[in-house]
Amino acid sequence: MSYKIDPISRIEGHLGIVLELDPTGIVTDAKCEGTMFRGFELILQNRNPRDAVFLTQRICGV
Amino acid sequence: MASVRSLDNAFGINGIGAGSGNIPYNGNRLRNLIEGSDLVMSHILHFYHLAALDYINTDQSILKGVAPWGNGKDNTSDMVTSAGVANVLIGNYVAALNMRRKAHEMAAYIDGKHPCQPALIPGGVTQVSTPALTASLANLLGTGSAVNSGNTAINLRSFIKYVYLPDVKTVAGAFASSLLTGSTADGLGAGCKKYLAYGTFPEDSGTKFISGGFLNATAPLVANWTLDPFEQLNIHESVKYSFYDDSCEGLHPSAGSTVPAPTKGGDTYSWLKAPRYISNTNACEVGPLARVLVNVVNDLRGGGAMDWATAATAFLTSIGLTTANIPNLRGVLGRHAARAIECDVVADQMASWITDLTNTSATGDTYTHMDIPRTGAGVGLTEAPRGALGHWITINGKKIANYQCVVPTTWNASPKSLDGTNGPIEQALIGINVGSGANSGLSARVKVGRIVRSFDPCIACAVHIVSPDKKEVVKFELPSLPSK
Repeated sequence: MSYKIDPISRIEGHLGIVLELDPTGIVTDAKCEGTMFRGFELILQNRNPRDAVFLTQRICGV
Repeated sequence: MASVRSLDNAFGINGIGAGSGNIPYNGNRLRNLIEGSDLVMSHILHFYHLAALDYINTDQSILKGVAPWGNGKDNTSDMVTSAGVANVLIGNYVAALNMRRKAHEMAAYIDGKHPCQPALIPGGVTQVSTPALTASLANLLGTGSAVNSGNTAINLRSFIKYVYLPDVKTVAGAFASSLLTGSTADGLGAGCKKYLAYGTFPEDSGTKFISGGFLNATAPLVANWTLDPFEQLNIHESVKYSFYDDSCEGLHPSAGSTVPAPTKGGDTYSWLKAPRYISNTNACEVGPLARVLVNVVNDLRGGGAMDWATAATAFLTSIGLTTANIPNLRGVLGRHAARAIECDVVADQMASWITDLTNTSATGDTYTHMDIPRTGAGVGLTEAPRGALGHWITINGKKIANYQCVVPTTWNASPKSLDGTNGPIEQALIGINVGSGANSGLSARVKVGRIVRSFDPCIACAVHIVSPDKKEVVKFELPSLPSK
Protein backbone atom coordinates (compact mmCIF):
# COMPACT_ATOMS: atom_id res chain seq x y z
CA MET A 1 0.00 0.00 0.00
CA SER A 2 1.03 3.56 -0.38
CA TYR A 3 0.84 6.37 2.14
CA LYS A 4 1.14 10.03 1.35
CA ILE A 5 1.89 12.95 3.68
CA ASP A 6 1.57 16.22 1.82
CA PRO A 7 2.34 18.80 2.94
CA ILE A 8 4.78 17.99 5.73
CA SER A 9 4.03 20.67 8.30
CA ARG A 10 6.48 22.60 10.48
CA ILE A 11 9.13 22.86 7.79
CA GLU A 12 10.05 25.82 5.65
CA GLY A 13 8.22 25.45 2.35
CA HIS A 14 6.27 22.71 0.66
CA LEU A 15 7.32 19.09 0.64
CA GLY A 16 5.35 15.92 0.09
CA ILE A 17 6.36 12.40 1.07
CA VAL A 18 4.98 9.27 -0.59
CA LEU A 19 5.76 5.96 1.11
CA GLU A 20 5.30 2.46 -0.23
CA LEU A 21 4.60 0.02 2.60
CA ASP A 22 4.65 -3.77 2.76
CA PRO A 23 1.76 -5.50 4.62
CA THR A 24 3.58 -5.30 7.98
CA GLY A 25 4.15 -1.56 7.73
CA ILE A 26 7.80 -1.57 6.68
CA VAL A 27 8.63 1.27 4.27
CA THR A 28 9.90 -0.26 1.04
CA ASP A 29 10.24 2.90 -1.02
CA ALA A 30 10.03 6.61 -0.36
CA LYS A 31 9.60 9.55 -2.68
CA CYS A 32 10.44 13.03 -1.59
CA GLU A 33 8.46 15.41 -3.78
CA GLY A 34 9.56 19.00 -4.13
CA THR A 35 6.38 20.61 -5.39
CA MET A 36 7.69 24.05 -6.25
CA PHE A 37 9.70 25.45 -9.12
CA ARG A 38 12.47 27.86 -8.21
CA GLY A 39 13.59 29.59 -11.35
CA PHE A 40 16.04 32.08 -9.84
CA GLU A 41 18.55 30.93 -12.40
CA LEU A 42 16.29 32.21 -15.17
CA ILE A 43 15.41 35.46 -13.41
CA LEU A 44 19.09 36.34 -13.07
CA GLN A 45 20.13 35.96 -16.68
CA ASN A 46 21.32 39.18 -18.35
CA ARG A 47 21.16 41.17 -15.14
CA ASN A 48 23.90 43.18 -13.42
CA PRO A 49 26.04 40.67 -11.47
CA ARG A 50 25.68 42.76 -8.30
CA ASP A 51 21.91 42.10 -8.40
CA ALA A 52 22.54 38.42 -7.75
CA VAL A 53 23.33 38.99 -4.07
CA PHE A 54 20.05 40.75 -3.42
CA LEU A 55 17.80 38.59 -5.57
CA THR A 56 19.10 35.22 -4.40
CA GLN A 57 18.63 36.23 -0.75
CA ARG A 58 14.93 35.89 -1.45
CA ILE A 59 15.37 32.17 -2.05
CA CYS A 60 15.19 31.63 1.68
CA GLY A 61 14.45 34.03 4.50
CA VAL A 62 15.41 31.80 7.38
CA MET B 1 26.68 34.74 1.44
CA ALA B 2 27.23 32.16 -1.29
CA SER B 3 26.15 34.68 -3.88
CA VAL B 4 28.48 37.44 -2.68
CA ARG B 5 31.31 34.93 -2.50
CA SER B 6 30.67 33.88 -6.10
CA LEU B 7 30.98 37.58 -7.03
CA ASP B 8 34.13 37.99 -4.91
CA ASN B 9 35.58 35.11 -6.86
CA ALA B 10 34.49 36.41 -10.26
CA PHE B 11 35.59 40.00 -9.48
CA GLY B 12 39.10 38.89 -8.52
CA ILE B 13 39.09 38.92 -4.71
CA ASN B 14 41.87 36.53 -3.70
CA GLY B 15 41.86 36.41 0.06
CA ILE B 16 41.51 38.12 3.41
CA GLY B 17 43.72 40.89 4.75
CA ALA B 18 45.31 44.20 3.88
CA GLY B 19 46.03 45.25 0.33
CA SER B 20 44.16 45.32 -2.92
CA GLY B 21 42.35 42.22 -4.04
CA ASN B 22 41.55 41.17 -0.47
CA ILE B 23 38.54 41.49 1.81
CA PRO B 24 39.76 43.55 4.79
CA TYR B 25 40.01 41.58 8.05
CA ASN B 26 37.14 43.46 9.62
CA GLY B 27 34.93 43.01 6.57
CA ASN B 28 35.46 39.29 6.79
CA ARG B 29 34.83 39.23 10.55
CA LEU B 30 31.58 41.14 10.12
CA ARG B 31 30.52 38.71 7.41
CA ASN B 32 31.26 35.82 9.78
CA LEU B 33 29.22 37.48 12.51
CA ILE B 34 26.27 37.95 10.13
CA GLU B 35 26.45 34.31 9.08
CA GLY B 36 26.96 33.17 12.69
CA SER B 37 23.95 35.14 13.96
CA ASP B 38 21.85 33.61 11.23
CA LEU B 39 23.00 30.10 12.16
CA VAL B 40 22.25 30.66 15.86
CA MET B 41 18.79 32.03 15.06
CA SER B 42 17.99 29.18 12.71
CA HIS B 43 19.09 26.36 15.03
CA ILE B 44 17.04 27.73 17.95
CA LEU B 45 14.09 28.12 15.58
CA HIS B 46 14.38 24.57 14.35
CA PHE B 47 14.58 22.80 17.68
CA TYR B 48 11.87 24.71 19.51
CA HIS B 49 9.46 25.86 16.85
CA LEU B 50 9.70 23.18 14.21
CA ALA B 51 10.81 19.97 15.93
CA ALA B 52 10.08 20.02 19.68
CA LEU B 53 6.37 19.32 19.34
CA ASP B 54 7.25 15.94 17.82
CA TYR B 55 8.57 14.96 21.25
CA ILE B 56 6.12 16.51 23.71
CA ASN B 57 2.75 15.03 24.59
CA THR B 58 0.89 18.33 24.59
CA ASP B 59 -2.24 16.77 26.07
CA GLN B 60 -0.26 16.18 29.27
CA SER B 61 0.85 19.80 29.43
CA ILE B 62 -0.46 23.31 29.89
CA LEU B 63 -1.34 23.24 26.19
CA LYS B 64 -4.07 20.63 26.72
CA GLY B 65 -7.11 21.77 24.79
CA VAL B 66 -5.29 24.77 23.34
CA ALA B 67 -5.59 24.66 19.55
CA PRO B 68 -3.63 23.88 17.49
CA TRP B 69 -1.13 22.34 19.92
CA GLY B 70 -3.16 20.35 22.43
CA ASN B 71 -5.78 18.93 20.15
CA GLY B 72 -5.68 15.32 21.34
CA LYS B 73 -4.18 14.18 18.05
CA ASP B 74 -0.73 13.05 17.06
CA ASN B 75 0.35 12.30 20.61
CA THR B 76 1.96 8.89 21.03
CA SER B 77 3.29 6.96 23.99
CA ASP B 78 6.94 7.66 23.18
CA MET B 79 6.78 11.37 23.97
CA VAL B 80 7.70 13.44 27.00
CA THR B 81 4.60 12.89 29.13
CA SER B 82 5.80 14.27 32.47
CA ALA B 83 3.76 17.45 32.83
CA GLY B 84 6.63 19.15 34.66
CA VAL B 85 9.19 18.45 31.92
CA ALA B 86 6.72 19.16 29.13
CA ASN B 87 5.76 22.50 30.66
CA VAL B 88 9.39 23.55 31.02
CA LEU B 89 9.97 22.73 27.33
CA ILE B 90 6.87 24.65 26.34
CA GLY B 91 7.96 27.63 28.44
CA ASN B 92 11.30 27.56 26.64
CA TYR B 93 9.45 27.35 23.32
CA VAL B 94 8.10 30.82 24.12
CA ALA B 95 11.42 32.10 25.50
CA ALA B 96 13.12 30.93 22.29
CA LEU B 97 11.04 33.39 20.26
CA ASN B 98 12.71 36.24 22.09
CA MET B 99 16.17 34.76 21.63
CA ARG B 100 15.58 34.43 17.89
CA ARG B 101 14.73 38.13 17.86
CA LYS B 102 18.01 38.91 19.60
CA ALA B 103 19.96 36.85 17.07
CA HIS B 104 18.35 38.66 14.16
CA GLU B 105 18.90 41.97 15.91
CA MET B 106 22.59 41.13 16.17
CA ALA B 107 22.82 40.46 12.46
CA ALA B 108 20.79 43.58 11.66
CA TYR B 109 23.22 45.80 13.60
CA ILE B 110 25.74 44.81 10.93
CA ASP B 111 23.68 44.24 7.81
CA GLY B 112 20.89 46.78 8.27
CA LYS B 113 18.03 44.31 7.94
CA HIS B 114 17.87 40.58 8.45
CA PRO B 115 17.10 38.34 6.66
CA CYS B 116 17.51 39.63 3.09
CA GLN B 117 20.37 41.86 4.13
CA PRO B 118 21.45 44.82 1.99
CA ALA B 119 24.99 45.11 3.43
CA LEU B 120 26.71 42.28 1.57
CA ILE B 121 28.73 43.49 -1.40
CA PRO B 122 31.61 41.97 -3.34
CA GLY B 123 34.79 42.88 -1.48
CA GLY B 124 33.28 43.06 2.00
CA VAL B 125 30.34 44.69 3.76
CA THR B 126 28.94 48.23 3.76
CA GLN B 127 28.95 48.50 7.58
CA VAL B 128 32.04 49.74 9.39
CA SER B 129 33.21 48.49 12.74
CA THR B 130 32.78 51.00 15.56
CA PRO B 131 33.06 50.67 19.34
CA ALA B 132 29.28 51.18 19.58
CA LEU B 133 28.66 48.34 17.13
CA THR B 134 30.95 45.84 18.86
CA ALA B 135 29.45 46.75 22.26
CA SER B 136 25.94 46.05 20.93
CA LEU B 137 27.03 42.74 19.42
CA ALA B 138 28.79 41.65 22.61
CA ASN B 139 25.75 42.57 24.67
CA LEU B 140 23.36 40.48 22.58
CA LEU B 141 25.71 37.50 22.17
CA GLY B 142 27.05 37.47 25.71
CA THR B 143 30.75 37.57 26.56
CA GLY B 144 32.87 36.87 29.63
CA SER B 145 31.07 36.65 32.95
CA ALA B 146 27.78 37.77 31.36
CA VAL B 147 27.44 34.18 30.14
CA ASN B 148 25.80 32.50 33.13
CA SER B 149 22.68 30.60 34.12
CA GLY B 150 21.00 33.76 35.41
CA ASN B 151 21.21 35.49 32.02
CA THR B 152 19.31 33.02 29.85
CA ALA B 153 16.77 35.67 28.89
CA ILE B 154 19.45 38.32 28.44
CA ASN B 155 22.02 37.00 25.98
CA LEU B 156 22.30 34.25 23.39
CA ARG B 157 25.23 32.28 24.75
CA SER B 158 23.58 31.97 28.17
CA PHE B 159 20.40 30.71 26.52
CA ILE B 160 22.31 28.23 24.34
CA LYS B 161 24.42 26.83 27.19
CA TYR B 162 21.85 26.78 29.98
CA VAL B 163 18.56 26.22 28.12
CA TYR B 164 18.95 24.96 24.54
CA LEU B 165 21.68 22.36 25.08
CA PRO B 166 20.05 20.99 28.29
CA ASP B 167 16.66 20.76 26.54
CA VAL B 168 18.14 18.77 23.66
CA LYS B 169 19.76 16.49 26.23
CA THR B 170 16.40 16.07 27.99
CA VAL B 171 14.82 14.96 24.74
CA ALA B 172 17.84 12.85 23.82
CA GLY B 173 17.86 11.19 27.23
CA ALA B 174 14.13 10.51 27.11
CA PHE B 175 14.38 8.89 23.70
CA ALA B 176 17.82 7.32 23.77
CA SER B 177 16.43 3.79 23.72
CA SER B 178 14.12 4.20 20.77
CA LEU B 179 15.83 6.86 18.73
CA LEU B 180 19.52 6.92 19.50
CA THR B 181 20.97 3.61 20.56
CA GLY B 182 18.49 1.07 19.21
CA SER B 183 19.53 -2.43 18.23
CA THR B 184 21.95 -1.41 15.53
CA ALA B 185 24.83 1.01 15.58
CA ASP B 186 22.78 3.64 13.74
CA GLY B 187 20.21 5.96 15.15
CA LEU B 188 16.69 5.88 13.68
CA GLY B 189 16.58 7.48 10.26
CA ALA B 190 20.31 7.28 9.55
CA GLY B 191 19.89 7.20 5.79
CA CYS B 192 22.80 7.39 3.38
CA LYS B 193 25.56 7.89 5.99
CA LYS B 194 27.60 9.87 3.47
CA TYR B 195 28.18 13.43 4.62
CA LEU B 196 29.27 16.49 2.70
CA ALA B 197 30.38 19.86 4.04
CA TYR B 198 31.81 22.76 2.02
CA GLY B 199 32.99 24.51 5.19
CA THR B 200 32.71 28.17 6.11
CA PHE B 201 33.74 30.97 8.50
CA PRO B 202 37.11 31.80 6.95
CA GLU B 203 39.28 33.36 9.65
CA ASP B 204 42.18 35.80 9.34
CA SER B 205 44.54 33.14 7.98
CA GLY B 206 41.99 32.01 5.40
CA THR B 207 41.47 28.70 7.23
CA LYS B 208 37.81 27.89 7.73
CA PHE B 209 36.56 27.52 11.30
CA ILE B 210 34.17 24.84 10.02
CA SER B 211 36.17 22.59 7.71
CA GLY B 212 34.74 21.06 4.57
CA GLY B 213 35.04 17.42 3.62
CA PHE B 214 33.39 14.34 2.17
CA LEU B 215 32.88 11.75 4.90
CA ASN B 216 31.89 8.23 3.96
CA ALA B 217 30.57 6.92 7.28
CA THR B 218 28.85 3.80 6.00
CA ALA B 219 31.17 1.52 8.03
CA PRO B 220 30.10 0.69 11.61
CA LEU B 221 33.26 2.03 13.25
CA VAL B 222 34.68 5.55 13.08
CA ALA B 223 38.15 4.10 12.44
CA ASN B 224 36.90 2.75 9.12
CA TRP B 225 35.22 5.94 7.91
CA THR B 226 36.95 7.79 5.08
CA LEU B 227 37.31 11.56 5.10
CA ASP B 228 38.46 13.31 1.92
CA PRO B 229 38.93 17.02 1.24
CA PHE B 230 35.94 18.64 -0.45
CA GLU B 231 36.36 19.51 -4.14
CA GLN B 232 33.54 21.43 -5.78
CA LEU B 233 34.40 20.10 -9.24
CA ASN B 234 33.09 16.70 -8.06
CA ILE B 235 29.49 17.95 -7.89
CA HIS B 236 26.96 17.18 -10.60
CA GLU B 237 23.19 17.23 -10.80
CA SER B 238 20.99 14.46 -12.12
CA VAL B 239 17.48 15.20 -13.45
CA LYS B 240 16.04 11.88 -14.62
CA TYR B 241 13.33 11.99 -11.91
CA SER B 242 13.04 15.80 -11.86
CA PHE B 243 10.83 18.14 -13.89
CA TYR B 244 13.75 19.44 -15.93
CA ASP B 245 14.75 18.70 -19.49
CA ASP B 246 17.07 15.72 -19.92
CA SER B 247 19.63 18.08 -21.50
CA CYS B 248 20.36 19.21 -17.91
CA GLU B 249 21.50 15.69 -16.93
CA GLY B 250 24.80 15.16 -15.15
CA LEU B 251 26.16 18.70 -15.50
CA HIS B 252 28.51 20.47 -13.11
CA PRO B 253 26.72 23.58 -11.78
CA SER B 254 29.18 25.96 -13.50
CA ALA B 255 27.94 24.56 -16.81
CA GLY B 256 24.53 23.82 -15.38
CA SER B 257 21.24 24.47 -17.00
CA THR B 258 17.74 24.80 -15.57
CA VAL B 259 15.17 24.11 -18.27
CA PRO B 260 11.79 23.31 -16.68
CA ALA B 261 9.84 20.43 -18.20
CA PRO B 262 6.57 20.36 -16.24
CA THR B 263 5.00 17.80 -18.54
CA LYS B 264 8.01 15.49 -18.67
CA GLY B 265 6.04 12.45 -17.48
CA GLY B 266 7.56 9.03 -16.95
CA ASP B 267 8.78 8.48 -13.39
CA THR B 268 9.33 12.18 -12.77
CA TYR B 269 8.18 13.28 -9.34
CA SER B 270 10.08 16.30 -8.02
CA TRP B 271 10.99 19.89 -8.86
CA LEU B 272 14.27 19.37 -7.06
CA LYS B 273 17.27 18.20 -9.01
CA ALA B 274 19.40 15.41 -7.55
CA PRO B 275 22.90 16.66 -6.72
CA ARG B 276 25.48 13.95 -6.30
CA TYR B 277 29.18 13.89 -5.39
CA ILE B 278 31.73 12.07 -7.62
CA SER B 279 29.21 9.44 -8.72
CA ASN B 280 25.43 9.04 -8.85
CA THR B 281 25.63 6.53 -6.00
CA ASN B 282 26.80 9.25 -3.61
CA ALA B 283 23.66 10.92 -2.36
CA CYS B 284 25.06 13.05 0.47
CA GLU B 285 23.51 14.43 3.63
CA VAL B 286 24.42 18.07 4.29
CA GLY B 287 23.74 20.20 7.35
CA PRO B 288 24.76 20.38 11.00
CA LEU B 289 25.24 16.62 11.40
CA ALA B 290 27.42 16.49 8.29
CA ARG B 291 29.48 19.47 9.48
CA VAL B 292 29.89 18.15 13.01
CA LEU B 293 30.83 14.62 11.94
CA VAL B 294 33.28 15.92 9.29
CA ASN B 295 34.89 18.21 11.86
CA VAL B 296 34.88 15.66 14.70
CA VAL B 297 36.61 13.08 12.50
CA ASN B 298 39.00 15.79 11.27
CA ASP B 299 39.82 16.66 14.90
CA LEU B 300 40.25 13.03 15.94
CA ARG B 301 42.71 12.53 13.07
CA GLY B 302 44.79 15.54 14.06
CA GLY B 303 43.46 18.00 11.50
CA GLY B 304 41.67 20.43 13.79
CA ALA B 305 41.86 22.28 17.09
CA MET B 306 39.62 19.73 18.89
CA ASP B 307 36.72 22.19 19.47
CA TRP B 308 34.37 19.81 17.71
CA ALA B 309 35.57 16.49 19.14
CA THR B 310 35.54 17.97 22.65
CA ALA B 311 32.00 19.34 22.26
CA ALA B 312 30.64 16.11 20.79
CA THR B 313 32.26 14.01 23.50
CA ALA B 314 30.88 16.29 26.22
CA PHE B 315 27.39 15.95 24.77
CA LEU B 316 27.55 12.14 24.60
CA THR B 317 28.99 11.90 28.12
CA SER B 318 26.22 14.06 29.52
CA ILE B 319 23.55 11.63 28.30
CA GLY B 320 25.39 8.59 29.60
CA LEU B 321 27.17 7.60 26.39
CA THR B 322 30.83 7.79 25.32
CA THR B 323 32.97 8.71 22.33
CA ALA B 324 32.40 5.13 21.14
CA ASN B 325 28.81 6.18 20.46
CA ILE B 326 29.73 8.73 17.78
CA PRO B 327 28.32 6.33 15.13
CA ASN B 328 24.96 6.46 16.96
CA LEU B 329 24.76 10.12 16.06
CA ARG B 330 24.01 9.09 12.47
CA GLY B 331 20.26 9.62 12.72
CA VAL B 332 17.38 11.70 14.00
CA LEU B 333 18.67 12.60 17.46
CA GLY B 334 22.18 13.05 16.16
CA ARG B 335 20.86 15.78 13.87
CA HIS B 336 19.30 17.62 16.80
CA ALA B 337 22.42 17.06 18.91
CA ALA B 338 24.69 18.28 16.13
CA ARG B 339 22.59 21.40 15.68
CA ALA B 340 22.86 22.26 19.40
CA ILE B 341 26.57 21.41 19.58
CA GLU B 342 27.28 23.53 16.51
CA CYS B 343 25.19 26.42 17.82
CA ASP B 344 27.23 26.45 21.03
CA VAL B 345 30.66 26.08 19.40
CA VAL B 346 29.95 28.75 16.76
CA ALA B 347 28.49 31.19 19.31
CA ASP B 348 31.65 30.80 21.41
CA GLN B 349 33.80 31.53 18.38
CA MET B 350 31.67 34.57 17.51
CA ALA B 351 32.71 36.08 20.83
CA SER B 352 36.35 35.86 19.75
CA TRP B 353 35.54 37.48 16.38
CA ILE B 354 33.98 40.40 18.26
CA THR B 355 37.14 40.62 20.37
CA ASP B 356 39.24 40.61 17.19
CA LEU B 357 37.18 43.55 15.88
CA THR B 358 37.80 45.56 19.03
CA ASN B 359 41.50 44.73 19.02
CA THR B 360 42.06 46.35 15.65
CA SER B 361 41.53 49.90 14.55
CA ALA B 362 37.85 50.48 15.09
CA THR B 363 37.59 52.44 11.89
CA GLY B 364 39.47 49.87 9.83
CA ASP B 365 38.25 49.19 6.33
CA THR B 366 35.54 46.63 5.78
CA TYR B 367 35.33 46.88 1.99
CA THR B 368 37.60 46.74 -1.03
CA HIS B 369 36.16 48.11 -4.24
CA MET B 370 36.29 45.82 -7.26
CA ASP B 371 34.97 46.55 -10.75
CA ILE B 372 32.62 44.19 -12.53
CA PRO B 373 34.76 42.23 -14.99
CA ARG B 374 33.78 42.20 -18.66
CA THR B 375 33.94 38.40 -18.60
CA GLY B 376 34.54 36.06 -15.74
CA ALA B 377 33.33 33.17 -13.67
CA GLY B 378 33.07 32.56 -9.97
CA VAL B 379 32.05 30.02 -7.40
CA GLY B 380 30.71 30.92 -3.97
CA LEU B 381 30.58 28.23 -1.32
CA THR B 382 29.30 28.45 2.20
CA GLU B 383 27.30 26.63 4.84
CA ALA B 384 23.74 27.83 5.34
CA PRO B 385 22.24 26.72 8.68
CA ARG B 386 20.63 23.82 6.81
CA GLY B 387 23.77 22.74 4.98
CA ALA B 388 26.21 23.18 2.17
CA LEU B 389 25.28 25.96 -0.24
CA GLY B 390 26.93 26.81 -3.55
CA HIS B 391 26.36 29.44 -6.23
CA TRP B 392 28.09 29.43 -9.61
CA ILE B 393 28.16 32.51 -11.85
CA THR B 394 29.37 33.22 -15.37
CA ILE B 395 29.66 36.86 -16.46
CA ASN B 396 29.70 38.00 -20.09
CA GLY B 397 29.57 41.65 -21.22
CA LYS B 398 29.38 42.70 -17.54
CA LYS B 399 26.08 40.82 -17.26
CA ILE B 400 25.10 37.46 -15.84
CA ALA B 401 25.33 34.87 -18.59
CA ASN B 402 24.64 31.87 -16.39
CA TYR B 403 23.82 31.40 -12.73
CA GLN B 404 23.20 28.16 -10.87
CA CYS B 405 22.43 27.55 -7.20
CA VAL B 406 22.65 24.22 -5.43
CA VAL B 407 20.92 24.73 -2.09
CA PRO B 408 21.16 22.50 1.01
CA THR B 409 17.71 20.97 0.81
CA THR B 410 18.33 20.04 -2.81
CA TRP B 411 20.96 17.67 -1.44
CA ASN B 412 18.88 16.33 1.46
CA ALA B 413 15.46 16.14 -0.18
CA SER B 414 16.72 15.16 -3.61
CA PRO B 415 14.83 12.61 -5.67
CA LYS B 416 16.50 9.59 -7.25
CA SER B 417 19.47 10.15 -9.50
CA LEU B 418 19.95 8.64 -12.97
CA ASP B 419 21.03 5.27 -11.52
CA GLY B 420 18.02 5.07 -9.19
CA THR B 421 19.92 5.97 -5.98
CA ASN B 422 17.44 7.52 -3.56
CA GLY B 423 18.08 10.89 -1.95
CA PRO B 424 19.18 11.15 1.72
CA ILE B 425 15.70 11.75 3.22
CA GLU B 426 14.26 8.96 1.09
CA GLN B 427 17.01 6.60 2.27
CA ALA B 428 16.34 7.62 5.88
CA LEU B 429 12.70 6.57 5.49
CA ILE B 430 13.19 3.29 3.63
CA GLY B 431 13.20 0.36 6.04
CA ILE B 432 11.45 2.01 9.00
CA ASN B 433 8.37 0.34 10.42
CA VAL B 434 5.32 2.58 10.62
CA GLY B 435 3.08 -0.26 11.76
CA SER B 436 -0.03 -1.60 10.16
CA GLY B 437 -3.70 -1.39 10.96
CA ALA B 438 -5.56 1.37 12.72
CA ASN B 439 -2.55 3.11 14.23
CA SER B 440 -0.39 3.18 11.14
CA GLY B 441 -1.59 6.63 10.13
CA LEU B 442 -0.63 8.21 13.44
CA SER B 443 2.59 6.24 13.68
CA ALA B 444 3.55 7.24 10.16
CA ARG B 445 2.79 10.90 10.78
CA VAL B 446 4.84 11.02 13.97
CA LYS B 447 7.74 8.82 12.88
CA VAL B 448 8.01 10.16 9.35
CA GLY B 449 7.59 13.70 10.69
CA ARG B 450 10.44 13.21 13.13
CA ILE B 451 12.76 11.84 10.47
CA VAL B 452 11.95 14.41 7.78
CA ARG B 453 12.02 17.36 10.18
CA SER B 454 15.35 16.30 11.67
CA PHE B 455 16.89 17.33 8.32
CA ASP B 456 15.35 20.80 8.73
CA PRO B 457 14.21 20.94 5.11
CA CYS B 458 13.66 24.34 3.55
CA ILE B 459 12.07 24.56 0.17
CA ALA B 460 10.56 27.97 0.47
CA CYS B 461 11.76 29.11 -2.88
CA ALA B 462 9.87 31.56 -5.00
CA VAL B 463 7.73 30.55 -7.87
CA HIS B 464 4.80 28.31 -7.03
CA ILE B 465 3.49 26.09 -9.76
CA VAL B 466 0.80 24.36 -7.74
CA SER B 467 -2.40 26.29 -7.35
CA PRO B 468 -3.68 25.99 -3.79
CA ASP B 469 -7.24 25.06 -4.65
CA LYS B 470 -6.97 22.82 -7.69
CA LYS B 471 -3.79 20.95 -6.81
CA GLU B 472 -2.70 21.01 -10.40
CA VAL B 473 0.15 22.44 -12.30
CA VAL B 474 -0.69 25.87 -13.63
CA LYS B 475 0.40 26.81 -17.09
CA PHE B 476 3.33 29.09 -17.46
CA GLU B 477 5.45 30.19 -20.34
CA LEU B 478 9.09 31.00 -20.17
CA PRO B 479 9.96 34.37 -21.60
CA SER B 480 12.25 34.14 -24.56
CA LEU B 481 15.61 35.23 -23.29
CA PRO B 482 17.41 38.07 -25.03
CA SER B 483 20.45 36.92 -26.97
CA LYS B 484 23.66 37.20 -25.03
